[in-house]
Amino acid sequence: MSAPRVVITGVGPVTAAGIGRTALADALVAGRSGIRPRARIAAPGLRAQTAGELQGFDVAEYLETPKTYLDRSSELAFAALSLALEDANLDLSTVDKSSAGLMLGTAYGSLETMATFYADLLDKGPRLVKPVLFPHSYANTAISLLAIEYGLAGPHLLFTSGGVASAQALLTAFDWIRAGRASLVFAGGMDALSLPLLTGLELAGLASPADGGPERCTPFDRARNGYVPGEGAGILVLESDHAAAARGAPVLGELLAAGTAAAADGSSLALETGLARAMALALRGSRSVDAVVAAANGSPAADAAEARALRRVFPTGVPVTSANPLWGETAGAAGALQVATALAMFESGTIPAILNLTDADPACPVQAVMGAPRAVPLERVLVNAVDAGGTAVSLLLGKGT
Amino acid sequence: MGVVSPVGLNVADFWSALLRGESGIRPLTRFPTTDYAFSAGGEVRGFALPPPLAAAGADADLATQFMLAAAAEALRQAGLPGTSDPAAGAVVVSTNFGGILAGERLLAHAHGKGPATGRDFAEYGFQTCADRVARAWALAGPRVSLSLSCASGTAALGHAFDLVRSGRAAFAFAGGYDALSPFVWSGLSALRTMAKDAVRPFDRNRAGTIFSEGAGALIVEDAGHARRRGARPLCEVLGYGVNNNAFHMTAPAKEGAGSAQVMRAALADAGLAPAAVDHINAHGTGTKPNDVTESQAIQAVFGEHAARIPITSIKSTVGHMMGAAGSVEAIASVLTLREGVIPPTTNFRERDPECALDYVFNEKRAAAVTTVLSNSAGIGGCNAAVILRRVEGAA
Repeated sequence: MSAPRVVITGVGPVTAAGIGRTALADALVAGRSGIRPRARIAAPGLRAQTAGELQGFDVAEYLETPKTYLDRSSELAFAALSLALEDANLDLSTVDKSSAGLMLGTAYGSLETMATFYADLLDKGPRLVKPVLFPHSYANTAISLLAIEYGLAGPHLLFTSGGVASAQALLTAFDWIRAGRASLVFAGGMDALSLPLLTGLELAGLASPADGGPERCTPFDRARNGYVPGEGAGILVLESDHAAAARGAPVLGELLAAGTAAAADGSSLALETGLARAMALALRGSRSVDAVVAAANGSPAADAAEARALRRVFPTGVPVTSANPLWGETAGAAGALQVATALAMFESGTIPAILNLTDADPACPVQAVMGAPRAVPLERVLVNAVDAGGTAVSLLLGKGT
Repeated sequence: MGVVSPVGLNVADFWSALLRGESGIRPLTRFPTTDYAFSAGGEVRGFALPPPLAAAGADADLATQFMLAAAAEALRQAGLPGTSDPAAGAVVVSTNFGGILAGERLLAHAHGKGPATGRDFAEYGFQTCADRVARAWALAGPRVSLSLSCASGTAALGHAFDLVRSGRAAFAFAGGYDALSPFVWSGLSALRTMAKDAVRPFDRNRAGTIFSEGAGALIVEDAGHARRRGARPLCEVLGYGVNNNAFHMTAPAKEGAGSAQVMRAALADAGLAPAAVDHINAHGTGTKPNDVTESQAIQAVFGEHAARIPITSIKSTVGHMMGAAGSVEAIASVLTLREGVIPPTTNFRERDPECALDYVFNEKRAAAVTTVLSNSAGIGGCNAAVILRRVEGAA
């Protein structure tokens, strides 16, 4: 018996540019960015004042039961799973929840709640911390709360691998379904903006404007100067083709293959090599890809390394886009949101242009889609996810049939 | 295998302390505990990075240093990476709190109370430990960080096993690590699951667990890859399971339903009948709810056979090493397979009628164990279990 195919039957994107599959598709087609001056986390002392911040987001719209407290990242995850279930038209009372998997990724976990808890420790001492906050400060708080809320008692894995976290969750869900060890997995990731995160990004010189110039999110552009942080969540409903067919689910796309590798050292060349190997593993010898959703986010070195890796794998070129300028670098959510982007591209038959890219950097040898979206038949799209520490994941998506 | 623990800074010292039942619980010294409700914990003492890593790891967070030292011991024993293809080597690490001491500097700075650097931000990052392990040995295969509360270490071993059997890696490093810090200690104290003096798993008067720190590392390798390079296995990984109670953030499920389910999943994955298991290295935290529900879960899964399975919890001696707990418990399980002796569950005084199984109380026990199940659980309702089997003619 051949291994099951892995199909995507629902998607729940939560981004600053749009919430839900339709809003995301609209934002991609219109090239409408959600990056703007921050409102929720003012932090006027920081150089960076813009972010892909969800404004006007109210988790209550997505909750089955009221909650007394949720970390921001848990809120985003709750919204994403609720939207994914609705999009998949999946009634959980009709599935075996004891085997339904939940595999998510996050780079920063519940950092804001950690900060709130820790502030009491600093200001008032250890006996006056708020005990209720501590269980909400774990990296696995969001994933475990989702399992509890929806009764998802099957395989439960939280990846904390930085910028590839949700892509690894998707890769692992793919492996479990292919191996016949699961037939339904909710996979994706979430990350929230918080003051310690923004502070850390500035200290580490990762956020635009790392060069002190204007803030911008310009992947592959000569003027790129770091990334603009964003927040969001993306959860996809992955099913074996049999399970999806049995319930007559519409198929939004298929996860055809996945590859992962990493840089052996901290050099840009090693990152390029690792990413090229991840793409080659996902492609398994074929180069028949209609477009690439790149991980590129405006980081000077990483964008160039990804561009060179793309040239290695596609010597004759391939159209490349990046959704990062729409909602910012969402870290643990990025891979899942990039897969959601690929699904929207299949549906619209267009490759979105890379927003803000006007002066293509010759050091980034890619066929970037610039200016206007490109209408083109799309059958197979490759999605990259990269962590700055050197880990790469590449996911090959096929159009649903 | 490699260990950094409160009872030993390498596998040999750790194992001999376990067999002697020598406790690693002492008053904490890293930070003042006068204002805390609890002051005794399992701190790693006398630790320094081994010389080959001393320079490269000096600016790593302490938790990551624990992991690097355990990794050095494990990779040296395995003879890896040696001349193996660097791209064939995966790294899987797991933790609850990551580089928390660096993280606290970042949190304090963001709160306007103290300095922090970009290095602190990087060292707090959960993936940084995996990057550091991989770079120290130039491993370029899949690189994964996991965080599943106190089931983390077992989940990392299981995920490493998955990467090898799916062909994504020829060998995979599986590690768990965590360090104690004011953030961690204040939070765990507030949870009210700790005892003041000793961990007494399965004892009628058990009062809670005591948290500790350190790291554990195991190398999972494809059998053919090991044979070709002339390496002899320490044991075989047969199967694993990982799930969630889907019940409550901090309370265990009724009658240990999720724990029972994860042990059944591990048995199914291993293709084993329950009667094939002849030892369980239990989660055994020493809290009232865990030990009774875990015992109920074992009873439910193993039925009549349950009473014939010797069960132990090494948390009585090493404390609860959080993200490293599953890793060091798997290491103890491997050593039991190899040496035919089960380390004791120490501090036992009085039988609990609700914990009615065969626990190896107070004294180590000779037992020719062939198949061991190591069980873990954690906050949020995470569970993981792994099954290991003795290999004849092992190294």
